[in-house]
Amino acid sequence: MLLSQDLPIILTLLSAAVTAILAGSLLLPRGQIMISEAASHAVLPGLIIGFALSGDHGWQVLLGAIVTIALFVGGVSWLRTRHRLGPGVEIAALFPVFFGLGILALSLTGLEKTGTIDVDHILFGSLELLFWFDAGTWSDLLRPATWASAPGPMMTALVGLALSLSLCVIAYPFLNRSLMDAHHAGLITPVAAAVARALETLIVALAAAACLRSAGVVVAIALFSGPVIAAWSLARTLWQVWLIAIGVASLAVVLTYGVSLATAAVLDVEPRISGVLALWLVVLAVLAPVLAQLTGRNRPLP
Amino acid sequence: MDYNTLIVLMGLLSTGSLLGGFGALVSLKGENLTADVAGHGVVSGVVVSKGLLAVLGAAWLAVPLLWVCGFASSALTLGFIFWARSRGYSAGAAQAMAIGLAYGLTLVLMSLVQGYGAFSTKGLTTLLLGDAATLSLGRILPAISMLLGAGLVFGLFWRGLMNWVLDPQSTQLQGQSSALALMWIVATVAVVLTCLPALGLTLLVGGLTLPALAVRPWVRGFPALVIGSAAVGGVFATLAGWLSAGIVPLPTGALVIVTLGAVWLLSMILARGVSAVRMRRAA
Amino acid sequence: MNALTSMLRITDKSVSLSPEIALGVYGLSAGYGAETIVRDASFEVQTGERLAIIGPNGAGKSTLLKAVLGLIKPSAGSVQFLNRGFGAVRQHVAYVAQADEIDWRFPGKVRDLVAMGRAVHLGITGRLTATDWRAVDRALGSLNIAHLADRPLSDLSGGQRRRVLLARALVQDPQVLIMDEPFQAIDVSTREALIDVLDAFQAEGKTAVIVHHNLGDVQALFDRAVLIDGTVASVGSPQEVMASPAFAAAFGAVHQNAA
Repeated sequence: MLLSQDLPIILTLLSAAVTAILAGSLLLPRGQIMISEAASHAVLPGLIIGFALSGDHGWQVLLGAIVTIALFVGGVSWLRTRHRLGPGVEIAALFPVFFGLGILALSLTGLEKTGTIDVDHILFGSLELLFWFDAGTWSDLLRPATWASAPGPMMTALVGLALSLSLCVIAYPFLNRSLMDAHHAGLITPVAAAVARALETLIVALAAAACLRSAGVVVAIALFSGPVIAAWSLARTLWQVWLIAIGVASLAVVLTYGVSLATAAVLDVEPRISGVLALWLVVLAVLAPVLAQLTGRNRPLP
Repeated sequence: MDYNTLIVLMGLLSTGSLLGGFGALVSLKGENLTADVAGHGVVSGVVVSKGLLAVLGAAWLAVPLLWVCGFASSALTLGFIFWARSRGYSAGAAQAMAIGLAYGLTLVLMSLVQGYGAFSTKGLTTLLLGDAATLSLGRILPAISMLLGAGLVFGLFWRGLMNWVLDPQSTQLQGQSSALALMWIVATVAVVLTCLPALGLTLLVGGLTLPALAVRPWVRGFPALVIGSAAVGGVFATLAGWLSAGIVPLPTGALVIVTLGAVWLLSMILARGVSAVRMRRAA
Repeated sequence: MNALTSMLRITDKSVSLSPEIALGVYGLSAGYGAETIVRDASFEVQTGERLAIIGPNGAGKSTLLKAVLGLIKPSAGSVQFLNRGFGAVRQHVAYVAQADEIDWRFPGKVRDLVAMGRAVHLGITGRLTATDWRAVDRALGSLNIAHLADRPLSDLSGGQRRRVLLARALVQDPQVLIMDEPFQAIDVSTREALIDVLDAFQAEGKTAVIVHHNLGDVQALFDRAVLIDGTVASVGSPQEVMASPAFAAAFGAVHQNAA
């Protein structure tokens, strides 16, 4: 393993995947997993403005993502409750507008010309381009200077993971109750339920930002949904969903690496990492219920 | 106005009208996200068609290959959704897996096809975001023909279409349901394939949804909604294209969708204002 | 002040738990969008009473209940629980929804769902203490479903789901219990268990307001009834309501004679 090349890819991919799993596990039980597809596109304008203000490493990038997703999710909820447009219509109306605004912002800020971020990276990810030059050996990881020069997408994914994991652990009882029966939670503990909804939005924003910067928006939906759908068939609690889904995502990353190495050696073709990962995630999501049935855990499908 | 700009604007007029009119039906059926998934399915077919074309080397096969592969891959994606739903997955989970599958396949196939020099990441970016500035007469003819064909079909059969959209069960009772469902899927894929060059897949769902939403508060009848949506889609797509051609040099597809979004927002605000005035007068 | 107390979930010490009127509904109108389903509904429920809300399909029974609890915003009127607004006494009012309002495929155990009822009594961390878990076990035991405590929610039958939802309401230790059609489509043993629990609840001087569908047993199960038919059409003892012209108008004379 070449540390400066493989470590950032694995760290970024795994961090983005786990963040997406946490977000996906909050969306799937509400029947809103398709919001993740929309959110991973809709986050773009906030990210671009964050980039323009702070460059590759700034906290403004994550803040921009959070503000944009809060606006997007708020807009979807408002349209759903006030206008009753029809199932999914409000999502289909809003996310292209947000994504379009992001593309316009990208053009207006001129970021594409600086090489910081471009349309290809947004769509298909930039995993193959991640290099952590200062991380030549394991001992380099102990030096603060090495982390100061860490690739931006990796840091976005790591910070996103740290924040969302902390929030999920601290707020587990509230999130669990809110997901189990949102109406009841809203009725008897309205403030806690509202806080849980705000945390959900925050976690979706962090995941969308991490996915966009690592695997790209086109396969983000597979990261959000695949491992959680797979875990659903095997888990009995929300904790178990998270743990099993992380296992599934790790397995998918390993299999992706295996296929990439094999095809490069045998066919002399290097398939796009994010594409292979998406395929593995879907395959595992389909296979997990079969495994659950074989092992006698006959849980309902999500 | 030079020839190229005229072609681009004609392309946007026909694409915007087609998406607006067809989108009104899609919105009434509440299938905007399903249309989006069907569109995602098309992309891997487009990549395969490019690869096959490079291998076969017959330029005249370009259009037939594109349509055959596009339909086949979209049918596979929708087939996957039907299979997942029949196994007990929820609609959202099935759609999410289908999109993951479609994009995963697209990226992997693209890597394989790139070896032949047939297709590149840039090509895929164009498919996803469109490239209105490079439209040529040959590339806009399908949209114009499709718009004319759709207008003719709508003029002749609008009442039957309305019955099917508003009450699918009645057509099911008459035994026409499966034929109409198949025609609906074919029409969806055809519209996606036709409109991809101008707007691209990612923004296309906005073109399907926003005009109908902007028109909805102002019309009562079904034909008025469809025709109104087509008009709003066509006119504002053309306006955005004209702006991006000279006054504000920004990506055309994104500007079209943001313009349509602004029109929807204005329409909502105006509709609310008018309704408040009417209520005050009535009181 | 009420709003602040409610927001912070501080128990309002000034709330008397045994006022004369447990629930007062005054001129309440509610519906969905522009459509008003219940218009100008007014009635009062005495403390310790078991009251049935009856009415034909689509008459607005569930809409009334949702408006009373603030789940949908009323277009007019007011509601008082224990002489206060719902926000101030939230912890003393429990609601048992219809079983189909919950996605039972969620990966959780029965014990976790029942424990949701304790949420009103928990601190800022939201963690349950040993006392809370004991209350959960007691509620499960009172409905004869202690053996289901660690079962996944997806494994429950229709009757078991009803018992679990009632256990969740009981674990909240409420003064007023609001239930939406709890007796619909359940087996005999579940029905008997529910009635036993309601009897014990009432014996403690607590109040139950229940939307009820089966007109045949209203007299046997309830102290009073409210007939809803777009508004409050009749209030009184079950016999009085069923003998009223409004009942005949709502259900027809055949039902009236049978009841």
